[in-house]
Amino acid sequence: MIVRALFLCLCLTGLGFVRPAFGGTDLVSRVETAVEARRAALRHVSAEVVVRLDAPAWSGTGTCEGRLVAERPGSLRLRGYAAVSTVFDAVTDGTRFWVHVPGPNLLWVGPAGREAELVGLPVDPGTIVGALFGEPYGATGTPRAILGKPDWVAWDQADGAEVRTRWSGSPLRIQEAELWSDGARVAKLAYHDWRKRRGTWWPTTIAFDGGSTGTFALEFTDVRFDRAPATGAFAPPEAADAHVFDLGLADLPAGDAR
Amino acid sequence: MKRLLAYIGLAVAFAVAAPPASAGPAREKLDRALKGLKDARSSFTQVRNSPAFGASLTPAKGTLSFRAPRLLKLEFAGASPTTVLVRGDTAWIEQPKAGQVIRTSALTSGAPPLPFLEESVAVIEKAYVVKETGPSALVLEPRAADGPIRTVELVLESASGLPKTVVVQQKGDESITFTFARWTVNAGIPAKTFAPVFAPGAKLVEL
Repeated sequence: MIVRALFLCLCLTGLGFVRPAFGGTDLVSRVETAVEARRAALRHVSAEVVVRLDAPAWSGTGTCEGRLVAERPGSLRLRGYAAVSTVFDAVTDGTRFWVHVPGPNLLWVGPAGREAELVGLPVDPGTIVGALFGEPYGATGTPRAILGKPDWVAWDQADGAEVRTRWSGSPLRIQEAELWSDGARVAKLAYHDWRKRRGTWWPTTIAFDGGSTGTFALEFTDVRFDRAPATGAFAPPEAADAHVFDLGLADLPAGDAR
Repeated sequence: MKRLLAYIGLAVAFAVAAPPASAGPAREKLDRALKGLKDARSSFTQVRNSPAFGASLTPAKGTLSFRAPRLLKLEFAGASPTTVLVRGDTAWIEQPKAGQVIRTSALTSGAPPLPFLEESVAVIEKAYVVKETGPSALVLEPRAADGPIRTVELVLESASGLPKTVVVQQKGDESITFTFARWTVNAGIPAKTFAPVFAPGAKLVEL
């Protein structure tokens, strides 16, 4: 009987039915390894995407095709198109942001990290960059286990916020992330349908939930990791004669505003 | 004497029919194509290029349908299928996946970067300066300074006289290259193809 049970157990293990030990310190160390490996392997990404935006401040729902290029630690350019025309061009170099809407020729400029607050977008470009590289909401340092949540780890942020992330799969992949502040979840995002794209595991969709500011999703139709961003990739948009909304460049250190 | 008069008559007739001295072969070719054009259709690929992003990773594919005067339909396939319908000054952009139709001006829709579909080169010249840059190549420069386009470069195919490639240089850092596979001309595209009829339940957004 015991031999039969052991045999069955071995078979199930071989077939992958018995889950390996997971969670706790084992998960923490595996997450650290996974994050480090991605950090070493992935410096930049360029992609073609479908952008889905549902933001009350941006006239409801919209879907468009787009292109993005991103580079660690905080640079992003995301441009959206409706067929032939450019719908928006959003750029951040990690310090400043620019959002240009060519149709009415409007340009918003301001300090990076405050786009959601100032422009009404559900997600800051900097948050998109962190999510692209698997370090959502600026999760850095040493993670810790979360009691009672074997698939989750958390990072404590310097500002008192907490980043919680759920992991699964082999190799280990991040599935969702939440930003908590003062005991309340203030934002979350989810990674859907991880696939190996050009030799690198990459989600088919990253969906951001900005709470009352709306939702934002990127569906990746093509992605490349071998194109280093061109010089000027994160330069301000060419927006001659645009109506400019300056949202706080005065807050930046002297000489930092363009 | 009669023969001489006939020669003079012929010479005068040719002189009247001949294009102005400044018109080169590319300009003539396009003008001839446009003057006889009732409708046209071609599949195309669209590639964007810019210093910031490089060339498109995956070219967009679609079909252009045209019926004179100024009925235009661009149907883009792909992950986010989109149809742009232009009737005169109004454009509808239908996005079935989003369940919405945007109604806007033709100018905002981006359709005017395809100005080669007019009644004649003379009509194109009302809005663009037309320069001949080769036996089958033209460059159109907008007369108005406030539009989104720097230039539109056309390379004409010999059979139809319509463009085989169109490069739209935008005022930002981006260019769009359309490559047309093969034009089918005057095959009789029905007017209902260009009717602003969309999927039931689609939300209409005015921009």
